[in-house]
Amino acid sequence: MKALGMVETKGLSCALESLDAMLKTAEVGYVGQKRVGSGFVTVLVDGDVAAVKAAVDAGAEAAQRVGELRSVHVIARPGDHVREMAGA
Amino acid sequence: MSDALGMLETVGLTGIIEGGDAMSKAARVELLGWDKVGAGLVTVFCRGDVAAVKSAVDAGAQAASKVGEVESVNVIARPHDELWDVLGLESSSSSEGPAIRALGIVETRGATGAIEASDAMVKSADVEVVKVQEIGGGYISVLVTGDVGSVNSAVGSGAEAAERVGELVSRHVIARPTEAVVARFCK
Repeated sequence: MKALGMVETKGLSCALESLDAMLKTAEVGYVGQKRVGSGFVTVLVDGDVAAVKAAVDAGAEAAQRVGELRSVHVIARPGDHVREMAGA
Repeated sequence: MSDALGMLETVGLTGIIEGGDAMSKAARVELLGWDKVGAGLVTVFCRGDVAAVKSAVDAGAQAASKVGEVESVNVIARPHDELWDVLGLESSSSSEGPAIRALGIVETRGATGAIEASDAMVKSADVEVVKVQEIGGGYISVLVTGDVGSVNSAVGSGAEAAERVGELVSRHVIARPTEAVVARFCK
């Protein structure tokens, strides 16, 4: 079971900067993105817990640098329905 | 794929159309397309070598800030390979847009203003509505084409009409939009 990491930002360019940083920082895979309207974009990655944590830290920092970071979260062992909800 | 990725994000479509036009005129970059995330936030993407992308994005941001609100600007010098797939934009120059001379844009919040504006525009001058684009957050843009003089006067009366019955966000005329802009925004 892979850990799931997510970074939520306002705006797309910020989300992409964050995803780029995450993919470059650690051995994580892109899972998907969630757009809930009002300009909020969440990008999701998975991998082992440590990698996801490191990736998400870097992603959050990158997002803050470029735009507005909304929230950051890592679920170490997500339930199956969570992955489904995330579009994985 | 060692191209750099440039992006310009604005509130309102007018900003990225003007920004995208300035980008493709300022440097040798390929306009990839655009995306919306709601609340009127739209992002236009370009690729090319780092220096070209940087100057394109600078020019785009400057142009966009004159007609709208720039939310953010970013250049990723060497994007991770997977990022191109995430963007999901095809990078083909073959996609051609409709025949466009001058391009006029009237952007409103709420449909009433946009409907009234498009009616006023086609009645006041020899222009044709090429597209009505919604981007979320209540933002609607009406894009018209014709010769520069007609488009200018149409946009003038369109903006006035929109203001009278609704909320006008912005109005703009691009006298000679690049092919890339036409292909990406007018189809």
